[in-house]
Amino acid sequence: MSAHNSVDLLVRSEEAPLNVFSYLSQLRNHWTLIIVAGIYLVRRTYQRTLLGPVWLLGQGVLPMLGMMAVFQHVSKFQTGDLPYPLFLISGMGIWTTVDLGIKRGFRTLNYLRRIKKVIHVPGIAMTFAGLSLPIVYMSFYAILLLGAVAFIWITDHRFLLSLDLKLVFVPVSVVLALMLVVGISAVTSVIFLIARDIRHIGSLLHLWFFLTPIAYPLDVLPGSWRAVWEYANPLVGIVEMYRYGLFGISGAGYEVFLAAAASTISIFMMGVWFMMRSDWILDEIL
Amino acid sequence: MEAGNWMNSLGPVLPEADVRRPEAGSVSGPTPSHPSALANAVANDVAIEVRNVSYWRGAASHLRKQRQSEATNQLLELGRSRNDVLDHLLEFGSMFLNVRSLAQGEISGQRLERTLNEVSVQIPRGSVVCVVDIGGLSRTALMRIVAKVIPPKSGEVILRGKVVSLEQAEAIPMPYRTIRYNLLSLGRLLGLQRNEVLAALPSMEAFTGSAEFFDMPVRRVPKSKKFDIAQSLVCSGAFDVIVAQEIRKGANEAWFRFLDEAPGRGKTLLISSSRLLNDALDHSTHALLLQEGRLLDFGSTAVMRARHAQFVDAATHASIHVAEEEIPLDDDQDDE
Repeated sequence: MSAHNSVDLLVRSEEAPLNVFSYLSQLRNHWTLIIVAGIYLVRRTYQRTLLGPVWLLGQGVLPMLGMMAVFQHVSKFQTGDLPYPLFLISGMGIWTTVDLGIKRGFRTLNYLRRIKKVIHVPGIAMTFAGLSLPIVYMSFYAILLLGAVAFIWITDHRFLLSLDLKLVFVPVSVVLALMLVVGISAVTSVIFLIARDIRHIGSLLHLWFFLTPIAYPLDVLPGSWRAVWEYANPLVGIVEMYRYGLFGISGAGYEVFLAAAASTISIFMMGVWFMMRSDWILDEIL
Repeated sequence: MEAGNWMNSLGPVLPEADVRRPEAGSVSGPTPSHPSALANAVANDVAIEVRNVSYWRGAASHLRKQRQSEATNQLLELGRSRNDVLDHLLEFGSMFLNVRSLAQGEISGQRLERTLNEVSVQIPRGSVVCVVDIGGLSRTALMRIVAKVIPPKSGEVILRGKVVSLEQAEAIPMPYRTIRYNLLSLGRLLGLQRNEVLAALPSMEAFTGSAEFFDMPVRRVPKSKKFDIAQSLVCSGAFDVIVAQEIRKGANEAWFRFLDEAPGRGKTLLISSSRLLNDALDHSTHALLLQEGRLLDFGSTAVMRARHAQFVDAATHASIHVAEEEIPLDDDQDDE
């Protein structure tokens, strides 16, 4: 029998809905659930499939191969010393994390409501659990990227990764990408429970893809539009930060990185705030 | 192992003389706010301490009647007549904007009806408590709060040891996986280590009397058998506090034996039933009576039955609270 001396405390303070930080701090008590729910969401993706996680390979690589085959022959898309495949893989790593994170994220509460209905947990914990699949994809792209770097190193005797302080920007940009996903998913997952219109968010994501320098370098944008692109779209700064950390080259400056970080953190906090208030209402609609 | 012998796998039963069944006391003195202070403040023989717990619900239905403003009213009317989704979104929006007052238990200056109203009680360890109310709303709320299924809207609950409810044990997250696989996942969600679940499995198989179901995908297992498995999990798992909202007709015999022997093992149970309330009372050591959201009385079952015979009779014959609808398997099959 388990020890009787453990004391568990349940409190629902009246001030809780007004304090985002105390709400976020509740996540400390729910790591096990986040991990179990995250694993469940990954397994759920491949349940009842013949090939299982092999689809990860197909979904991740095939679209990228298509883009690589076409765009590396477009002269404007050339990226100097950095081979185009590396440029594309690095961009696609961040993009896939955000794209998949948002597409899966808005379904998270719906998928996990069986669990949420019987185990009290802050809704934001479910949103964090929804990051599991994007993290799997992100890891897959990281392995792909390292493989490509190693291949170029062996065949061309050029080591393209920048192993210096700039490397710090890599984890920072990944964390920012995940925060962006959490911020957006926290809002959309609640709305999705009521209005399934969110399901059609995919077309907006296609637009976002083309507004972000994933497949093309930032330099190809016309000067007048470039500033708008850089500051209005936080993903521009995040992608460029990621590439800067990896290869030491970037089309954007530190001010763009800062703007991206500021807007991403704002979106994240807004999402958490929205989920925090929604938690009081979810009992009514779940 | 035969079904009747499953208890033996849990260890020796304490002699009756060793079973502690203290009477409940009332909460007094200042409420400490830090967990360690609470640990010291709660007596060792108290398994569950409920402190000033209130719960309210039904804000959505309340809003439907009250409406927030003329503008919202018009929008709701517009939405209601044309689009259900818009209607729901507007209701959600109204509640969202009023979360501050919702958290205080009121909307537009009107107090929401309390399902639980400032309930405080200490439940001794090793007691089987039958929760009785008329209609079932208050007991459902209290039992779900104790089981950590829902949080109290105000107040706090202090639990000694691990808690589980039958409702939680019935939640199977992955219908296409085997029962055994689901139990390992569920065990982790309920705070059990993997080896604790594995250690409990033989005893669970004996409890249900049908080990073959444990290796079948959940969706192929009959519903009644799933309930047996849920019962076996709460009985055989390393839980100290067990909440069973509904003692069902046709419940496994081993379950009733567990109810009778649990106090000897230091396990604390909260039980109730809509249809079999008398049976639940028969198997309980204590009764907790709730009337209109407030604690009416708490003590040994015999005393409570004698002291509140009329109330218990009314609760036994009251209309049954309709259980919430089961969540469909998934209404969002398309993935991308």
